[in-house]
Amino acid sequence: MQSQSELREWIDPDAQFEEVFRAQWSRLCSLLTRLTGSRAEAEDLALETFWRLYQKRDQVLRASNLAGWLYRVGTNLGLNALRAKKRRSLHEQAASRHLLGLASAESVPAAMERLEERELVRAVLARLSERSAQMLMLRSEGLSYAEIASALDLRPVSVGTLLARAETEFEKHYRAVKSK
Amino acid sequence: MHISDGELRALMDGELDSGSRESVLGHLEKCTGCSERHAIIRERANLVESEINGLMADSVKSPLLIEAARLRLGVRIQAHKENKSMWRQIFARKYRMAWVGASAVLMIALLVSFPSGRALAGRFLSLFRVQKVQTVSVDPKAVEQQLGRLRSSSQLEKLLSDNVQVNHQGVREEVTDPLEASRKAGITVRIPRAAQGPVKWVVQPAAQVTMDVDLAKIQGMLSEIGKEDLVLPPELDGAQVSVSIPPAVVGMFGECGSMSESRRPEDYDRSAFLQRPCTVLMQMLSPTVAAPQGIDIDQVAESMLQLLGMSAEEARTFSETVDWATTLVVPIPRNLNSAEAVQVDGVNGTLVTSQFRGLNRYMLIWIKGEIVYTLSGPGDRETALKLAASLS
Repeated sequence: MQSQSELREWIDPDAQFEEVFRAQWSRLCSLLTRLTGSRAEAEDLALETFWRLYQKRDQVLRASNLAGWLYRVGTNLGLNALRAKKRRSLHEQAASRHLLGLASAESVPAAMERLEERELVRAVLARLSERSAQMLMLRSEGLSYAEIASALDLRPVSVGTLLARAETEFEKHYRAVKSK
Repeated sequence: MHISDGELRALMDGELDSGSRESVLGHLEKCTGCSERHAIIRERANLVESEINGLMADSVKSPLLIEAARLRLGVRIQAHKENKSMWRQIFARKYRMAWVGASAVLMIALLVSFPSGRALAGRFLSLFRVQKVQTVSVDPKAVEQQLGRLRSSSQLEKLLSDNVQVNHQGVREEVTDPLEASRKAGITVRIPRAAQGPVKWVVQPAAQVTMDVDLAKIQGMLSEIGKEDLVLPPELDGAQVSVSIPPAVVGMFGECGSMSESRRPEDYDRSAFLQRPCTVLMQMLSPTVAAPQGIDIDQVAESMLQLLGMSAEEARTFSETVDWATTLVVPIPRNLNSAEAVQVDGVNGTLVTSQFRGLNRYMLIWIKGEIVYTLSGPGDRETALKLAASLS
């Protein structure tokens, strides 16, 4: 039976897509919720990710690193959303400074201090190079080095090095933002 | 030969094979330089891990709305299949409510007025009620007149049979407790603790309504009912608009009679129901709507309002005060009802109070966390707000 359904899935990408959707939706959603801080936004992004998978299902579903593909595309969309939000919030900060009549930039560090710790971590992630941010999210999601390598198209032996580098990058921005 | 940062990092994660692990551990015992570097890398990795894990707090442990999500994806896939190159489908959050508004109002107006559409109307009326966030008062005489014309329109009949499709996913089911209802509907069902009397829970199946817009037919129908002056945006022609209505959980408290058992909405006597001491709380995920991009929503919305009996100028004036992209506007007959904005459940809601054969009735609507709540029953403003405050 098992092999029959596997065969059917192999032949029918729609059935396989269905399986993948049911198996991965929750996990992708929770990863994106962590990344964006908004459940509703995470669901929209996860939906967009699956929509892209659906459009490419003939190519992607045949590949072995399906979860990897989802996480790569999903975190990519999430990080883009985060950067867009950062830009917006900078505009908003500038606007509110203007309204308060505070012309100097000195209120920025003060505003940063008030930012919640979580928003601060998101701001740091948004500043990292895309690959670094993706590595940190995937690692924290519990993916093995082999899975990370497959998702981000890297050699497995270089994952340790790149991860250490990503963490250095994170710490640098984290301290910089904190010290303000 | 010293050890690379990458190897030290992999050691932490248990990602070295046993041979490398042995030799790395052996080297660390002898080499202070590497061992200090190892400590730094470990400390940094721990900092990053704990900060990123801290984001977990935002990953709410509410049940994952997988069925609702699948439904949304399904609408998109379906629309894509049928309309591949002509239209880019939108699914943006900001347009959802607008399309629920614009298309639901039109469909409801059409369906309630049409005898063989009555069976469907029961469901549409639910959606209609569920979604209101802002009300507009309309002249009941003008609406009645308009509906009368619609009822006698032969072109409307043709329009409905040819261009509108309704698919129900499953059947209406009575369930034993709110937990089961939550599971079936994919939402966390809340309970009004202050409600009294026997309790019944019903899960209404998800439904999808698809309309292929044939502008020539619609204009033909409009001129048949004397509304040829209504102009719909030309880019609407050939578009497909689909409304996806997630499963709804209906909780009934008190003497609610047999409404829940009746599978055919036309079977139940509405006026008898309205006189019963029965409180109804409905909870559902916001419906989603897919429609082509680039259509003048204001123009569509103004036409809907005119179809409900408003003059062109009234429609325009009202339309200017509404953000159609986020609001569903519900017509309330003037004189019979009064609507006010209230604070409920920590958000803004709308309370409609009315009199039915000498009895006070209320209907309270609000949207919180993408869930639409409507609470209705006999009583006044205070009854409504007290019940809503007891939700848990």
